[in-house]
Amino acid sequence: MSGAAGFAPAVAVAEGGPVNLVRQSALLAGRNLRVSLGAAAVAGMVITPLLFFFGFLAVFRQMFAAHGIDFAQYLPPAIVVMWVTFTAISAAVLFARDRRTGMLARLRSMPVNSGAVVAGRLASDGVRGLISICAVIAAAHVTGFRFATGVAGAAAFVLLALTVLLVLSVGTGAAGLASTEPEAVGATLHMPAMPLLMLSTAFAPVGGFPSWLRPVVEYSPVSAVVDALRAVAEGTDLAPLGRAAAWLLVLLVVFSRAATRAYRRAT
Amino acid sequence: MTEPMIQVEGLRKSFGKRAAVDGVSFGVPAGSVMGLLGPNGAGKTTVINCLTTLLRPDAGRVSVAGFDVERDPAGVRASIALTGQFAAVDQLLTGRQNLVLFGRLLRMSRRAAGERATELLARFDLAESGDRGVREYSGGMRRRLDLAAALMVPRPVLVLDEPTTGLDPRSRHAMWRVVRELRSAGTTVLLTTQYLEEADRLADGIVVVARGKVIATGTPEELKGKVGVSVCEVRIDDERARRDALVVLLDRWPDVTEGDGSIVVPGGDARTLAEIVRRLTEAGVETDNVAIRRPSLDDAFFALTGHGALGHHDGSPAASNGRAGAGAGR
Ligand SMILES: Nc1ncnc2c1ncn2[C@@H]1O[C@H](COP(=O)(O)OP(=O)(O)OP(=O)(O)O)[C@@H](O)[C@H]1O
Ligand SMILES: [Mg+2]
Repeated sequence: MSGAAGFAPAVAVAEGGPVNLVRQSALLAGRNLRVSLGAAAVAGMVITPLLFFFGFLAVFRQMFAAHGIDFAQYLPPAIVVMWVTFTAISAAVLFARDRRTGMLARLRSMPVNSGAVVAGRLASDGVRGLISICAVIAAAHVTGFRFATGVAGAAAFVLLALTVLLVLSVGTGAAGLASTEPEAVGATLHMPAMPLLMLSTAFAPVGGFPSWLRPVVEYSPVSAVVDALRAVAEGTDLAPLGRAAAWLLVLLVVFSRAATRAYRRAT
Repeated sequence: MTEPMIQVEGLRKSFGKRAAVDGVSFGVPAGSVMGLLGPNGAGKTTVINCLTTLLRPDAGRVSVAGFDVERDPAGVRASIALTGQFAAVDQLLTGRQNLVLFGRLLRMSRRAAGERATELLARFDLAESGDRGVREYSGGMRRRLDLAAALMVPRPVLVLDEPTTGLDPRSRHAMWRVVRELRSAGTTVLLTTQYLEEADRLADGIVVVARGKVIATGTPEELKGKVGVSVCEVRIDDERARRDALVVLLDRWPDVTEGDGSIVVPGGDARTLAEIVRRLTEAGVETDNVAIRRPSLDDAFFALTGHGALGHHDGSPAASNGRAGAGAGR
């Protein structure tokens, strides 16, 4: 027998299906945002990346000018990629926290679409990322950063940055789902993040590195993404876009597998 | 007779080399309350996790409301409500926001979820704190909110993992009342507990597990019957004196068990009582009280799991015994 009288019907309920996915993702994204869009959190999302931006700019602008590089134009994509990475890492922390508090177990024991938990997380990360990206662009504009391609270029820039964020979040999300230690997973992910950002064209052109490091910098996925963002902003040579797209696709495939596995195992 | 609402057959689950659940079988008839009783680390939560599709069994068959957990996990999820061992509510939302979120995830409309939340908050004595952040709640309040969250949409099967651990007596009685109400409304309830009194009061049937295996099944009465119709209880608060008494009594009755500040001798009749008093007097052991009483589930539990079975498992006999003993609330 299945389902007793007076109870919600227990006949094979499809928890999959696009309607459920969208509805439940939206509900969970709303919950995530409600949790992480307090005044203090928003201030952190806007102020911290701007501190990085103005800090780097103040220190290195003159030096880069001596080499004929307009740092105000060069720096914003780097700050965006750095901040997008940090936002993705915070997704891992939040997932690990949900696992630790049992929230995730509760959701998994309910007829909630399995994709919705991840999609809800991604959607809220996207919103948080968008706020930071726009803040950086606005500040950069004041200091002289321009999109050569106008509004279309700006839109493409934001879209690409968001794509990077979401792909990274799938990967960090997998790490978060596999962990019950929010602090530990955050610290562990921050460790490779900094060297990856430094050993790329984010903060200095390839020519600025010693020759033995140049191959590392040239083939770094971070370089691919930062170069692509610069290309979109300049609107000149769009070749880097292909390299970035290839990297993102590969990472997405690897990360989604890891995330699916981790979700299934997360008690 | 219809098929049991919950059916577990030969369930096995290991973590690494270690078998947490090692061949557990039991059934829960529709509309009844089943208590899963066992010491720390017995495997209760692991059974619950397999039953609620959170873990995949290594072997065995588990079905809930006619749905197999492996072949139709979605069907199982649509039939159960779970409150896990640790309150799983969002600390950063208010009590009401939590309830509304879970209701809406279960496809309630915003309005219906809001009305149901108000109703449940009142029922669980949380009406005044409903709009406060859960992080300001006490442990007991969180626990009650957790149960309320599970009840947003009525389900035929309710699974509760240690629902009253950490609750004060008033909240515990309130929780028991809710379980009884749900049972009379036809809900099938599976609950785990370390509190023997709780199983005794609530459960129609009890499954006792230890180290991943079922060591006894039956009604509370049947389990109590296993230690005799009545027992003699010798209360000796002084630990030294109790040890001495235990030595004296073990000499005559090899199956006496040591409880919480007392020694229990199976077979409670006047002759046994007289003999106990005589032997202890001869040995010069002072007693605080000697009485005949009906066996409690504690007695059954100690008898079934053996003296040290509670403690040996996680190496802290004092802690485990203390917890099980405290639960009897005598
Ligand atoms: N995820 C896990 N990984 C490794 N071992 C585990 C895991 N979960 C449980 N165990 C082990 O399985 C055994 C049974 O654990 P379980 O949590 O099911 O016991 P329990 O009866 O619920 O105990 P308690 O009363 O303390 O809640 C324990 O020895 C525990 O250490
Ligand atoms: Mg447990």
